This record gives sequence, structure tokens and C-alpha cells, in this order.
Amino acid sequence: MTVKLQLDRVSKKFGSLMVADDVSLDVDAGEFFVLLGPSGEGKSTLLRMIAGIETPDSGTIRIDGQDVTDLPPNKRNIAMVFQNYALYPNMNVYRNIAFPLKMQYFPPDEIEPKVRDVAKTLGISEILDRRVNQISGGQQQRVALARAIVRNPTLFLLDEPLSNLDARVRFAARAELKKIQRDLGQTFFFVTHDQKEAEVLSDRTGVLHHGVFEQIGPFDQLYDTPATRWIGDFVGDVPMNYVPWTESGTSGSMGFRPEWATVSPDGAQSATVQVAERVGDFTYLLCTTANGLRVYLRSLRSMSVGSEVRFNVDRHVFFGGPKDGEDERVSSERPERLPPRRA
Amino acid sequence: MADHRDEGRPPAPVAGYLRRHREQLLPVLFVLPALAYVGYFAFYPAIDAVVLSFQTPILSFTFYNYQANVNLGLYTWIANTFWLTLGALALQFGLALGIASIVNRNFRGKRIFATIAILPIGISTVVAGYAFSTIFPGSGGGYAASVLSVVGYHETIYWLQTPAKALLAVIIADSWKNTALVVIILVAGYASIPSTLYQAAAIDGAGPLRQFRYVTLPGIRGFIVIALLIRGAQEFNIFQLALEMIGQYPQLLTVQIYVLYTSGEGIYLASAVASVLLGIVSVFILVVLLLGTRQ
Amino acid sequence: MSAGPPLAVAAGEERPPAPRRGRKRWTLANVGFYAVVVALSAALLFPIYVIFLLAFVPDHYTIFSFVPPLIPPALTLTNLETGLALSTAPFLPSMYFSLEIAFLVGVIALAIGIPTAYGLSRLSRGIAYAVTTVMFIVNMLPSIVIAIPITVPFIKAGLYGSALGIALTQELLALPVTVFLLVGAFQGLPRDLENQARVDGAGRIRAIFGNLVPLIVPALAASFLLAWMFSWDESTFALILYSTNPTLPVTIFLTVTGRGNPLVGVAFSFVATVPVIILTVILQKYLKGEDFTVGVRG
Repeated sequence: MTVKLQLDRVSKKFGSLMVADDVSLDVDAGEFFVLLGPSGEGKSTLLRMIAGIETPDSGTIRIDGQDVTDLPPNKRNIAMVFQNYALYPNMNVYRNIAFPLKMQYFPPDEIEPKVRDVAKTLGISEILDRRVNQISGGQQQRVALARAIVRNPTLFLLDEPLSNLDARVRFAARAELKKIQRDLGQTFFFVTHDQKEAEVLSDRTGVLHHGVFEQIGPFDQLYDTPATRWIGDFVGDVPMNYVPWTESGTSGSMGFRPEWATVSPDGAQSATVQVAERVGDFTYLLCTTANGLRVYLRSLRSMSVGSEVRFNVDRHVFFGGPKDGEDERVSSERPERLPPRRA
Repeated sequence: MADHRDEGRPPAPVAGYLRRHREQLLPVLFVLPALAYVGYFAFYPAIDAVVLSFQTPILSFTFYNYQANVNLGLYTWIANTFWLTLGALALQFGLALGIASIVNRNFRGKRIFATIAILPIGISTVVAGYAFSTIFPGSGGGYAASVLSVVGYHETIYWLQTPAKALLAVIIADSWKNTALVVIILVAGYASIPSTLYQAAAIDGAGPLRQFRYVTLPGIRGFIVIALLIRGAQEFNIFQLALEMIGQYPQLLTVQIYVLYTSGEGIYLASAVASVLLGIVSVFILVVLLLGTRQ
Repeated sequence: MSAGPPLAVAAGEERPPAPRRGRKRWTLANVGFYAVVVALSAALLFPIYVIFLLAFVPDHYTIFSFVPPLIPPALTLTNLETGLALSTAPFLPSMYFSLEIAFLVGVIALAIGIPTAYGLSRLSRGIAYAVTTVMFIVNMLPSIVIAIPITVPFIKAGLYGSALGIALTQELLALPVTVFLLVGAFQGLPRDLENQARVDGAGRIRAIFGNLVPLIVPALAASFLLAWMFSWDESTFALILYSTNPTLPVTIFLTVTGRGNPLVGVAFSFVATVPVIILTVILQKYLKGEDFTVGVRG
């Protein structure tokens, strides 16, 4: 695998907000990399630095081994899809898609087949003559994608391209995006705050927090073996549960997800149900233990509020250090799945 | 930690700063021509006027230009300019609040009325000045008398007989020409007030007058400040209309600058009056900005 | 800030009605309201009517009448004919000169205004606020204070009395308003349009002038017309800085202050004003009150 994109000790500060603090990252050619993080943590800024729209305070950005840190965006041979699609409102769909080719001085007779080709692939051949304000949100997203694909870039940057779609369209668009990336075999760098997108799309997911990557790895790894308590809380529908725990002589806390515990009358632990919510086949229970800890559990049977629930923890990860800190996990029940931590 | 970064690049603070702010470079370059332009064509002459005001024709320092103007009646000119500004602002803002309130309502014929209200902007100031000098002629009579005789008033008014009457004529002419600009700004202010505020005030029992006092006025405060700044400065600077309608009876700062400049005394005496006007306008801008931004 | 609908006077009806009164009926209050509207309209139209009378009614019924009649007993085209005759009056050459200057003022306003407004829309709030405040102050400086000291460098530079020289000074009135209008227009565009164009392979200058500027054409047109109108009406700089060839307002001023028949000037300019009035009515669709407030609200 060759390295397509390399961030080398990149730092960027906006006023007092550290959006990148000595960040290093390698993205392999053909990889679908998802940059995941809560809003306002500078994910887009990192993406914009790769695009050349923002400048890092220090550090180096390389694409295909070439230092592009000081290159303007138009010299980087990248394509980018913005959150609001940034379609040129004064051009019709055809001219929007043709624009990057025009900027690269392709002759018109070469532009047309390329545009028609990519429009066919994305199923927007029928709307090439339409104005961009006359087409639906889903179609706009396709036009933006077509405009990115048509120029055959070396790297695709996507900034929350699905977040403006309504739920139904988003579901289909997500699957389609993954298929397109596979078919193209190109490198995608995708920014989102939606962990479902990271789960479905990514080969690897990196989680940015306070300007550093808390963890980088396949999404399952983030879910199953979070590197820090913060990741444990951020990834997953509900925060991880933590109870004080001592393991191999180190005191810390044990983290487990609701589905890692089994509710049964002969369970070793007990708690009191505070809130019970039916979601699909399961009832999710928000409980408190005798020493006041909050625990999320999952049960196939419905439980009433105030009743006692007993459960066993089947699987857990261990976080060393004081329970309130965000200290790194020092061991887990399945150490073979420890993520390869990068710089 | 910083020592290890940027290996291979020599530490160069200026180059590093420029590199980090590369994206800001073009916007800064784009703004520079305008700054150079106003620097050369506005601020340099304004400063030059102040410098000239302290000079004699052989370039030595003097207060004579100011003393001479004081003897000629500088304080009266300031007072006249002040009263004219005050009167014009009062009339314009009163009219503009009324017209904006009307335009803010829905009624048959509103578009026609709005167009009529904005028409004076399109009329040449010089022509309007002449028309108003036939409406308010110093010799008495004129179109003002024509209108007054329709309502049964037949006394002859000599409009240049007293400074107050002459200034009133200029105030009316100037307000006719310039109220539309204030209206445009105030209408934008009215539009910025959510209509739910009026509904809430009405539910709380406020009638039209108290709605105006407690909803409209606070809502358009910022817009009033802007309009006051623009119009106030322009009133102090009023020149063409006054020169055409009343000349030197009574004397205004701007007209006196022109008269001194075109007379034998020339540029030095004129510059002293210009500096005084500049000072008054500067103080006015400062005061309105301070009052307007204080919440 | 310019995302909303145009809020000029005539466009105000796009607002929902202010909920103060119920359904319209011919109540006493309604009659009173219309009486006020009609009275105000009459007062606003009266000076224009006077200009019409001066231009097209024989002079013994206008300026040579002590209390001139409001209903004209007779009409005449003599004033206009004299004004249009090249041999007797200097109006046509002055009008060409004024047209040339006004055109220059409009062009310069855009040439300096577009880059400046773009720059301000991309710089930090503090810097943009400082620069717009400076522009605002420039707009308030007395023309007469600037016009007098600038004559000496103008004579040296050969600008004195030239169309370019007068245009450059009148630009002081037009440029700030142009910048305010265009900053609002640029700020109304999505920021990522420029970024998208750059990523798509356009250089930054090309992205600005190829992708952004075409989107603010209405604001450009409004700025140009406004600058044009400022210049067309301006007479302070034009009066002090002309040498042999005066602009139209100055010519009319010189005519009405005793060097000729004032009514000829009035008649000529009344006709010349008609296009300006049409422009004004067109412009009010594009002019938004907020545009005048950019300078202070930042």
C-alpha cells in the first residue's frame, strides 16, 4: 500500500481553539478514511488545510509524497464536496460538472463525453440542462459528486456531504457513496459528525478531539476497544458504562456497553431501574447502582421503573487511573484487538 | 516542542507569519487601493487645510487666519450652521418617521405614495435650489404666497428679511430633497422588527402610540443613529442649496469658505474656516457614534 | 445581511401587514389616514410642479409675477428650445461633460469598490470594521474643505478642470456607498463557492472575478447607477475644480445666478432630469436601507 496523503506534525490554532495539535496521519491509496468528531472540534479545518483553503501554523502536508503545504488549492489535483454542495448558481448542471475540466483547459469536444459519462454513472443525465436551484437536494448532492469525479482527482475530500439530505435519501446516498468509492478505487477523506456514516463507509475512522487523534482504526475497533473513556462515551448510541475496577494490581474503571452485559435474575451485579425505553426488540434501562453509579442496560424483557435488575458483565475494557480522568485504557479482555496507535 | 517542528526550514518570523496568513494576503492587497485613494484624495487635503489655516502666504506660522475670521463673525457663522443643522434634522426625522410609518402599512395606493416619496432624490439639487428660491423669494411673493393665498393668507413675507426666515426656507428645501434617504433607512429598520413584538405589545394592552414608543423606537434605534450620522454630517456641509437660495444672508460656514476662497484673501482664511467646520463635523461624528453604540 | 428581500420603500409591502388595525373599511380613521397621505404627496410633488411651471409657462406668469398663478394660463416651449439650441446656450456641451464624468465615477467606483468589498468581506471583523468606519468618515468630510486644498496638486498633475480630476474627487461621495453595497453583496454569497472554484482548479483571482462577481451583478448595477447619480447631481467639487468647461449643474448654477436666463437652464435640466427620475424609481428596488448601515454595525 502506498501512502496517498500524509499529515506530518500539523498544528493549527484559531484564537484559543486548538484545532490541530501536532497531528500526524497517513492515509493509504484507495482507502476510505472517515474523520469523525463532535461539531466545533475543527474537523472541517483539518480538511480545509488538506484542500489548501486554510494554512497550517506548522507542519507538512504531503500528497503522493509531494509537499503541498504551500501550494494553492488549484495546484493540488484534489476534488472536494462541500457540506452545502457549493453548486455555481449561475450555471446549469452541465456547466457545473464541466467547470473543473474547463479550468484545466480541456478542449470542449473532450469535456462533453466526460460530463455525459459521469452524469450517466450518477443517474443525472436527465437534468443536465436544469438550473441548480430547480433540482432536489439529493440531485444537488449527485451533481456535486459528479463535479468531483469528472476531473479524475488524486484525492477526494468530502465535508459532511450527506448531512443536508433528509433521512430517507441519506440512507440510499450513503450506500451509493461507498459503492462509488469502491468502483473508482480512489482515496476518500470524509468528514462527519455522524458515527453511523463512519461505521458504514469507513475503512478506517479517526476521531479528533481537542486537536489530537484520540484513536484511529476500523470503526469496530473504536466501538469494541475504545482507546480512552472519551472515545467510549462518544462512539456508540449511548455512553459506555463505567464501574470502579482493579485489574492486575492497577485500580481504574471497567467499561462495558449495554449489550456486553446480560440481564438475568441470577446476575452478580444489581441496580435499580430509573427509566425504561422500548427501542425495537429491546428495552433500554437507565439504572443506578447501590453506590450511585449510572448504568445503561439492555433487556429483551420489559422492566418496570423502580424494580431491581440483576446483570452480569460478559465483556469489558479496562481503563487505568482515576475514574474521572480520560486515561488511556491499559488492558482489555481481548488484547489481540488493541488498535495500532499512531503518532 | 516548537524546536523540533519545521525541520529543514530556517526560523524566519516574518516569512513564517506571511506563510501562515497566506490566505489573508490577497484581501489585504485588495483593500489597499481604496485606502491609498481616500488617503490621498480625502485625508491628505483635509490635513492640508488644517496646515494651511496656520500659515501666512510666506509659509510662517500664524493665528491670524483664525483671528481675522473671528472679527468677520465666525461665531455667528457657526451659530447659523448649527441652527440650520438642528432644524433640518428635526424636520427630516419627523417627516421620515411619519412617511416610514405610512409606507410600513398596507393600503391601496401605497406603491404610488412610496414612489412619490423617493422622487426628490432624482431632482437635481441646483434646479431644486432655484425652484425653492422662486417659492421663497427674498423680495416677497413667490409660489409660497400663491399657496398661502389659496388658504386665505395674503400678507407679504420677505423670506430673506431675518436669518430665521431665510434658514427656515433652506431647511424646508433641504428636507424636501433629502428626507427620502432617511425614509429608506428607517423602512429597513421597521422591517427588522418582528411583527410578533407588535402582537405581544397589543396583547399586553399597548395602543398604537405606546407600541411606537416601546417597540418601534427601540427597534429602529441603530438605524436612526446611522441616518443621523449621514444626514447630520451632510447638514453641516450644506453648500449648494444655501449658496443658491440665500447666499450670505445669513452666512454659513461652507458658504463663507467659498466666499473667502474666491475673494482676494484667498486660501489661508478659507482654510481656517474649513478647519473649524472639519472640527465640528469630527466632534459630531464622535458624539453620535458614542451615544449610538452605548446601550 | 442582504439575504432578505429588497426592503426599499416600494418593496416594503413584502412584509406582512403591521397588525395594528383590523380589516379596512371607510372608517373615520381611514379617511384621516388617506387625507394625511394625500397632503404629504401634494407637498412632496409641489416643488416638482413648480419646476414644471418655471420651465413650460411664459415667464410673466412665473418669475415676473409677484404671486404667480398655480394653474398655468398658458404654456410655452421657448425655454426648452433656447436651452437645446447649441449656439445660444452651453447646456449640451456641459451635459456631455457631465455624462463623461458620471460615467467615470461609476466605472472607478466599481474598479476600486469590487476588490475592496471582496477584501473586506474576507478580512477579520475588526479590520473590516475599521476600514468601513474610515470610508464612512470620508463620506462625511465636507466637500468644500477637500476641494480647496486639492486644487494645487491638481494643477500640478494636470487634473485641474479635467473630467478625470473632477471624477476622482466626486468619487469620494460614491466610493463609500459602493463599498457598503458590495460588501453586503459579497457577504451574502456562500463562502464555499469561492473555495469550490479554487479546488476545481481556478486561481483565486479567477474564482473571484469568474465565479463570485457574476453573482452580484444586481448590486454592481445598483452601485454603478448610484455613483452615476451622485456625480450627476454633484456641484461643489465641480464648481471649484472646473476651469473652462463646467458640468451641467455648474452651468445651471451660473445661469440662475445671473449669467443668462435661469428659466432656460431649468427647462433644459427638467427634461434632462426625466431619465434620472426613472433611474431613481428603478434603483429603489435594489437599494436596501441596511446597506447604509454596514459601516457602523460592522
